Amino acid sequence: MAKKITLNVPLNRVEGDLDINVTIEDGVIVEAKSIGTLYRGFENILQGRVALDSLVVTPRICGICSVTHLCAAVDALENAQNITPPAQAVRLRNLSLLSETIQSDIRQFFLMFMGDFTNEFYQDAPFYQEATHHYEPFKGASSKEALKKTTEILKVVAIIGGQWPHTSHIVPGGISTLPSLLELTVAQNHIEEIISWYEQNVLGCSLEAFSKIESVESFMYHLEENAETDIARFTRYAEYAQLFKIGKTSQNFLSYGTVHNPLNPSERLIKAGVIIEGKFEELDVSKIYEDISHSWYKQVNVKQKPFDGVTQPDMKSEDGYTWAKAPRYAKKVMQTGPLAQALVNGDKLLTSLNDKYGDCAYVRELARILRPAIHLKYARQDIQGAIESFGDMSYNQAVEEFSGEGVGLVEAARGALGHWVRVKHGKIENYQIITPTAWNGSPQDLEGNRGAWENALIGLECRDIKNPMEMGHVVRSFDPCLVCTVHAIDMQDSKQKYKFKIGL
Amino acid sequence: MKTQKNKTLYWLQSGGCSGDSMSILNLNSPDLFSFFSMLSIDVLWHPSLSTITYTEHDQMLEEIVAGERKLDILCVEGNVVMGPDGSGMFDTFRGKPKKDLLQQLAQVADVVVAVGTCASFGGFGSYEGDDIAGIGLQQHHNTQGGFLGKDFHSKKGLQVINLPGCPIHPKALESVLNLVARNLPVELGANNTPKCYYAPTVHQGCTRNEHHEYKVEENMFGEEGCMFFHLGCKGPTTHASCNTHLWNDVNSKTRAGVPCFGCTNTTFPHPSPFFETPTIAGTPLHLPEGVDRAYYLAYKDMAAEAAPQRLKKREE
Ligand code: SF4
Repeated sequence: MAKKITLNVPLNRVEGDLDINVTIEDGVIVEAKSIGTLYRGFENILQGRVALDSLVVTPRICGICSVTHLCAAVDALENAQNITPPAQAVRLRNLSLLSETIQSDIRQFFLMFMGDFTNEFYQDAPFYQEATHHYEPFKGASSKEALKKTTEILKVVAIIGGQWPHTSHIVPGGISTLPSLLELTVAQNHIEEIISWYEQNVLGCSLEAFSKIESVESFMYHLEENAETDIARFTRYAEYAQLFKIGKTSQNFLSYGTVHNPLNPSERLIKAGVIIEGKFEELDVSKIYEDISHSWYKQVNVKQKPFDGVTQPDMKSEDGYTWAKAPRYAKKVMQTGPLAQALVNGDKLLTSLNDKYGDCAYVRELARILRPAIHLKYARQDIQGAIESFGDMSYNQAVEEFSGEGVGLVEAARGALGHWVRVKHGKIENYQIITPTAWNGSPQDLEGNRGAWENALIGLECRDIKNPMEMGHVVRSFDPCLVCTVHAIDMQDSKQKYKFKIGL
Repeated sequence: MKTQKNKTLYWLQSGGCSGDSMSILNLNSPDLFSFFSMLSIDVLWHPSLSTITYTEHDQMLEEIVAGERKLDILCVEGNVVMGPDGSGMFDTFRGKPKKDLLQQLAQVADVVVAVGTCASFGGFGSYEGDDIAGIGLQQHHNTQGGFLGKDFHSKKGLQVINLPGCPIHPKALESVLNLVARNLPVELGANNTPKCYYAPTVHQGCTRNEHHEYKVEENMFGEEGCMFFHLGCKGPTTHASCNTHLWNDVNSKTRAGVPCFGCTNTTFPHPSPFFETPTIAGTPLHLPEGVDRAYYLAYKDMAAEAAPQRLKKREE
């Protein structure tokens, strides 16, 4: 007889609180529900405030991608007012966002992902000692070095914007101040320092040489030749742990694109778009909506456009099991993040890896640690541009009271982040945010489609339910960030009694 | 009872953004990991960093709560989520409100540290009408008490040590752990914040001090002036060492033309709007701590007259 159990597994080393409720039959996951257990109500905090306050409030939604939220908030306000920032401001914004994303990719890979290979689960693996030496939490030599490097790259943000995290130096119309030439050249040194560490330790060759590796074969050859790099070690561990086989969810990808062209800010040098069942399409924002059929909200208007979302709590709602809503694009469940960004942008190496292995946990995580290879090149370009254009204007707009609607779309470290704002006489009337983790970690929708990582868990073999390592690998390959589960609740309903289904 | 020579630390995240964790990872020389090992602090658990399994974690919590495992330092990041209706179910751990776990841990810890403004005073989500009904550990905005109550003392007889900041400055945590690890007393000042980090104001050490002195003002972003008079800078009324221990070792917001938003203050994220200075008869409503309005204004007007040309604003 089949042995069937259902249990709640809390996952650490994700940002915020995440439980996965899984049903396991004969050691294989047959049902998975992603439960965001922390509700924060940030969108409410914005209502009624002066529009510029969003530059201070929204970065505090997420301590790990605060500059990204700032960029989205400013993009939305500029979109509403039709403002174009000057070229020098665009370079400094690019640098701020790139630095934050590079930091996040490195920290996630070293501190949150590689640590798993030092767990006793792998004590019989041939790499156990090596992995422990390099990646043990708090002690591993490579992880410690990587942590130091992330503090270096964040100095670039601090030089431009004062501090990291939680600054507000990006403002509608430009940037709050221009760093001195001395500071810009110091920032350039920091960037070069990271590049040389990344080339030597992570890649095993220069950024330029790496960009010529386009096929799976030449990539695997490169890893053999450079066995003592982080990507080579990761690949060896991944093979042993079968990460090539697990974690696939779909071939639907969403990216908002990033790195604005200083001379034509509406152009994104890493392009935006969607891939649906393997085919590229231009991004059409109007196709985005949120489904709340399996969320703890009152079931009126089950499919909501971002500008007119109605959100009332109802933990009695029959099918609800999470605070997250389920964003969908033209009825499709999309995955977003570094892999989506690379594929939408037509990256040759990741396209061939995805063609061969699919969107498995290995390819998804690899895309993350390879992304700095692209981003660092843009950072190099923008800091050089900023130095050459030193003294150019970096702010061109007086703050005005206005009314209007705007959308800010930005690529966060974890993928597509959107802010939707409606302003009336200078005050925020409505603010809606759809975060990358809302896309990746969404619950089921009305049609019964599971969210991206829920689906990736189905069919997964779980060898030890006390230590469900495979689940950890799959979910962490999406780099979840649950603190961004921000949805507002209308507390007019606060008198009702709540029935809780968590841990059912 | 298992005895341990090293000090143990448990890090609990509740209603917050993880920004404090991200911030302390920026500690440099020594880096955070070396810092813990130098001070012989064993981090029993940090949600973003630990790799023990959830079953081991459950077991560990049981032992700590039962007093079978020593807990020297409890760090709490984020406010205590009380909503909805006081149930705390907007933030749960293993199906139960996280606030219950926090209450249990606070009873057995030697020292309880509130990391960041949310944990210290409530912060985001702590105002009337905010869904999560967050409160600070032992203080709610200006009122002592908070979640643990004003009479709470840890096992060592200490009140909660508040380390406000949105996020916390890594030096604030470093300085307190330096003292705790060496069994030295932590001297607390206003709002139970350690004097070692919170005695200075943000204004002290700002590179725009001379502009402030001569009332060379910034009216809009991108100018090189003091932001106190128009852009809402709260540096002179906010206590923190932002301009004496620089952020990420290189800079501060006010140096980069971003006004101080008063993020270590008990009422943050209020008052707002953030980018405007509230005025009374054309002069700032809130003057630097302790000054006499009439004298201050007379002095500022004279100082503006005396401002040297080199400080005056860019071309009209
Ligand atoms: S900008 Fe703020 S911190 Fe700097 S001198 Fe002026 S008031 Fe002080």
